[in-house]
Amino acid sequence: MISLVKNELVKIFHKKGLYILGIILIIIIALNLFITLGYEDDLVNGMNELYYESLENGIEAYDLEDTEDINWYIQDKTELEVYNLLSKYDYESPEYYYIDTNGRVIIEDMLIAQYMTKTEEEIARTQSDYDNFLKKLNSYDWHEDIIKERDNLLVQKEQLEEKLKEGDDTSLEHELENVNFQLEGYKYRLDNDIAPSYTGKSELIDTYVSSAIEFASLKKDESSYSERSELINKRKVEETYYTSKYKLDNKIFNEGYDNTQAQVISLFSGIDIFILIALFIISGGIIAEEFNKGTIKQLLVRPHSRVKILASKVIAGLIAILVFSIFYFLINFISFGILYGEIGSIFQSVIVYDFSDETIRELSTFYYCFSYWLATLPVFIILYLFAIFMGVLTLNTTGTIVSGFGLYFASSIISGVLPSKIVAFLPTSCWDFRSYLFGGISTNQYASFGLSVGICLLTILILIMLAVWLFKRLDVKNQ
Amino acid sequence: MSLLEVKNINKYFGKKQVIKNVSFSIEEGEILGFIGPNGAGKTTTIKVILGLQSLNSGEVLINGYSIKNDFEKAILNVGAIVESPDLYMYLTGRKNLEMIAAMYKDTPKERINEIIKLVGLDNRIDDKVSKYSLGMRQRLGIAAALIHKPNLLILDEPTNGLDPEGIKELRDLLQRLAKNEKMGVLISSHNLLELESFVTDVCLIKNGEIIVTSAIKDIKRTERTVYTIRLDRTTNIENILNDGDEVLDNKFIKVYRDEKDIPSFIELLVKKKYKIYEVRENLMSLEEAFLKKAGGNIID
Repeated sequence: MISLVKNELVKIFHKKGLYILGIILIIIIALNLFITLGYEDDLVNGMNELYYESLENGIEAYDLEDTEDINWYIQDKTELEVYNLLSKYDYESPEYYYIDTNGRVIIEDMLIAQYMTKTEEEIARTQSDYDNFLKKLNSYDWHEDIIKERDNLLVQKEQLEEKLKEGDDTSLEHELENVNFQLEGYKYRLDNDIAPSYTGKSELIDTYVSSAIEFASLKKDESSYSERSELINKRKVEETYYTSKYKLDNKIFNEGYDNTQAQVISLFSGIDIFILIALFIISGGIIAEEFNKGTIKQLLVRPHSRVKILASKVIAGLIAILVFSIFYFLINFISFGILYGEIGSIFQSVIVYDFSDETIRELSTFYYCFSYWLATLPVFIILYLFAIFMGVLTLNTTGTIVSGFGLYFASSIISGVLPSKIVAFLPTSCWDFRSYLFGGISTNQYASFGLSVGICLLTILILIMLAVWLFKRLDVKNQ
Repeated sequence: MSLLEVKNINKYFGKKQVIKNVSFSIEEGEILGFIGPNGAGKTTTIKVILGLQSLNSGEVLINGYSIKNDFEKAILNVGAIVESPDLYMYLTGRKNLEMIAAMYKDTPKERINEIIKLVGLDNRIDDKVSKYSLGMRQRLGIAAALIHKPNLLILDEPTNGLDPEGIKELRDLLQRLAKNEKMGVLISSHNLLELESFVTDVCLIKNGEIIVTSAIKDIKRTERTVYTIRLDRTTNIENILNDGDEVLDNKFIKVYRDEKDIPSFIELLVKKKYKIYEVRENLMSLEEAFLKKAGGNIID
């Protein structure tokens, strides 16, 4: 058996298909690296400049006597003014965030007063607002804003507490809870010197505050949710709340997606089309091609049963797919390292909320990725065995590849069209276990982990039995 | 025990019966020529023997083991080329042989070099098979069939693509293997002429039926003898000829008779006022003899 598997591996790795796919992959990644490293900034800047240049040119053509044109003029002029201001600051700076969140409205108000309202009072007021905004921007200190907002909230808090002393009021309690969460956010910013900005740290605080407010408003008893989508949403909010809280408490900051760890995680989180292509190239050629080219006779006149021959092909194919996957991940990993640096980030832990025991777990990147890989493995195994079965049935390489891709792409359409009760029993819906990871649930209320495992095992068994049954009975046709 | 016993096998493609009660056997040292026109059922029979196609009824025993029920043991000592030596074109000749050798237990590495030498592919064995000529592929196919030292060799039209020199080499090799290694050989062809010099037995198949099976030595000399007679004329001579005798032109006739019957035939010719100038004895080719024995022209 081992010698048969070795033979199959020799055949697979001596064929051109996989190497061509590998070369295409390397070219795409290299191209991506080349563009990103060498030209992305220039490209983005160039595009921006082009866009604003066109705005600038276009703005002169507007007829300021025409009401509709004035609207457009104000909109474009605001964009230009904001762009001019933003271009002076770094993207992650507090000033950039301040302009982006406050400046746009101030500028727009000023332009509306100048070109639409046209009252002196309004023009003067908005101009003054704008001047103050610029003045503040020149020596921007975010602390002042945060302290001011905090103090306002503290006043609000006192008022709410006073009202609550007068009697129970659920809506007031919620309001107080929201105020407390916001105060917590401001406190965290001030204590840890984290300015409102487009940085991972700042965004984490915002995420925590918004998820905490939303989570507080949600029902905690899951049995009270009649709609699955509402329950899924509750769990998402719950997960965001607990993980962001844990990260803040333990000062674990995820700096967005621009690091190797985040990219590796994202790579493992999905079902990659390149792996699927490799899977179908291998499974398509492994049986059908041997029959088409007549080489199957060299195998079938040897002292090995057809079951052994088929098994050796299936095993060798799986090994080859695994080897290609490792190559694929390595190539990507190297490119992530070159693009984003911080290769060491993969040694940082991944924070996960486990619904099964409602605890936070710190996982290694490897464990986390492996879990996702394992959760999507049934998709690949079922598609692979389906392609093997189709190969034995049709003895046609192209037909095998096309039917395999067809099944994969049709699976989501089928799930969308059929009623949930039926979808819960479809192998093509049960094969993805990602939603069950860390105590999660399926989006389909009729599906369950146990049912999905059962259906996947049954599908795998049926596909193997059908392929073996057919292969044992196949006549090698005369040429 | 016969190396190969084919007992009353029948095979249908849909409703069409393509093999009808075919039976024959091969013993040690026997080279059986399996002769028939294209489409007669040679390849299908061979595929059924090798388990490449199922049979509807009958039995195939190789070295005493049933190909249907005991496939692995039955096929263990069989070497075969079916239709054409389909090898992996993208691999070298050596890699092909190594892979085949790996499918048998206890095939020593030296055996690969030995077999390469035997088929004369030493110089090109490390080239990819896609660069081989058809003749070289046949040689490699033969090497692949012989690598595990089988005692039964089944070759389906192995002379295709071989030049006369190649056919001679194949003939010598098969004769050597049959004589020295006591190997049994089943070799199919649509042309008996190619095989008659070295096969020990012949089996003729037509429309899926065995027409005749015979050892070459059993075809009596008399059965292979034909007489060409030169006369003054051949007018109305058909009246005294037997079925199968031929009028060649207005002077010559060809008659198939036992030697003992020739004097009485000459007497009859004289009685009918034919002048006889010459009576010549010729030996028929094996193919002609078989055709005559089978009673018809079956070869394409």
